[in-house]
Parts: sequence; structure tokens; C-alpha cells
Amino acid sequence: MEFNKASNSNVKLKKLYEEFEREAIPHMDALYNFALKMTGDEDDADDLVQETYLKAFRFFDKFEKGTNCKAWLFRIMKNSYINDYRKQVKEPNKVDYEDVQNFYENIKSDEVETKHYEQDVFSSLLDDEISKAITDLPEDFRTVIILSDIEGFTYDEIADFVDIPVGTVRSRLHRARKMLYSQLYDYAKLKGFTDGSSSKR
Amino acid sequence: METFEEITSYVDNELKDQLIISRISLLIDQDCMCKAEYLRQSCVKELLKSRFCKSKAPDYLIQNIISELQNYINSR
Repeated sequence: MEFNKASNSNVKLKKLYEEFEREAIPHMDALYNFALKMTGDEDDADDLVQETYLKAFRFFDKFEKGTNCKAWLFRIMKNSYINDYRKQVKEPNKVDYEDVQNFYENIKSDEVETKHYEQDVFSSLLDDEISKAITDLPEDFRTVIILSDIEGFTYDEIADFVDIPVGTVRSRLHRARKMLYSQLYDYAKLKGFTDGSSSKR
Repeated sequence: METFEEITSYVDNELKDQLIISRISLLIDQDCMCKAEYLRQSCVKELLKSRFCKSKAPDYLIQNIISELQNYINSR
């Protein structure tokens, strides 16, 4: 009797695992990519992804079939990142919104020259430089830009798992792109690509 | 500022109200500041989409996770 019970439970788990393998495992590259960008360290990214998948499997019976599994996994990863990873680092990477605001004010859009947007002003940049510019963004801004522009999540989905209003998602995204543009423009300028007649502003 | 953020939503196809979409579209066509903002936002979005190198999860990580999951199942 006990044996049958254990055996049934094992069969159930195995069935659950098969579903998990089909639904969740294919998103591992996206999660790893996000973890790597958030932690900036391969070992930490490995730990974060591993923890996310183990937690996800433990709660997979609660996952509503037919809903967005990738978003569900990202939500688990976000919680692990906030609850576990950030607690372990010496000083959690908090964003000083005043600094960001000051930075933003300095690059506010007072430039109307649009020629350089139409040229491929960033064609000279290396992929590593683009990646570094993202990594250098303050965490809150980095999160939304990765989720939106790289992973393709909607504002509603981002708001849901970052736990902020949709208006804040939009605002952070707006500023993140502006900061990123400014940083990439500086890189391009260093490489002598821009002609000096245009400006990052 | 509000308008510039609406341009961000416009670029992301996140505006639902057809009237706002038309208003933003018109502004982009007629106002050079709005056009610059539109081009800047689109430029970064496109750049990340086309040039950002996505890292693949290493094989050893995939194997570790699968093996941890198998251990978990077997221990139940």
C-alpha cells in the first residue's frame, strides 16, 4: 500500500518533470542572459539560474498551464535575485534617483539635428561596447531595458514582475534608452565616427 | 516630458488609444524635437534588438540543473 502510494507520487513527479522540460527548460538561455546582465558575474548567474529552476520545479504544479511560462520564470528569478542575491552583496545596488535625474537633465533633448539618427552612427561600435553600456546602467533602468528591448516583454508584464506601475516602466525605459544613447554616442565619438556637427543631446 | 514618454510608448507599440496614437504620430511628423526623440528611442531599441549578443546558458549549467531536478524527484 505504502509502496503504491510512493510509486504513484513518483509517476506524478515524472509526468510533471516531462511538462517542465517542455515548458520551462527552453527559456534557460533567456534567464541566463538576464542573470548575467544583472549580476555581472558568470558564477553568480549560474547560481541564480539554478536556484530559479529548482524553485520553479517545486512550484510547477501551481503554474497555470497555457499562461506565459517565460514571464513566470522571470518573476521567480526576480524574487530570488532580490531576496537572496542582493542580500549577499555588501551593499545592494540602490539607484540614486537624484543622480539619474541630474544626468537626465544634462542630456535633455534640446538638439534638433536628426541627421545623425538616420546614419548608422553606432555601426562602428563593438558588441562588447553595447553590452558594457547596458551593464553600466543603474540597476532599475538596466532591468526594464533588458526585459523590454532584449526579451520583448510588454509593459504590463514588466510592471507585474518588477512590481512597479506601468507608468514607471515607461518612464524608466524612456530614461534608460536616453542614457544608453548618450553612452553609446560617446563611444562612437571616441572612435571618431561622429563628425562633430551632431550632438548626443 | 509627458509627450516624450508617450513617444516611448509609441515606439513600443504600447499606446492603446487611437486618438493618442494619431496625435503622437502627427507630432513626430511636425515637431523636430519630437522627431529627434522618436528617432533616438527607435535607434536604441533597434540596436539592442539587432546587436546585443545573447549569451547561451553553458552546457554544464543545463546538465547541473537537470541532474539536480532528477535528484529531487528520486528523493521524493
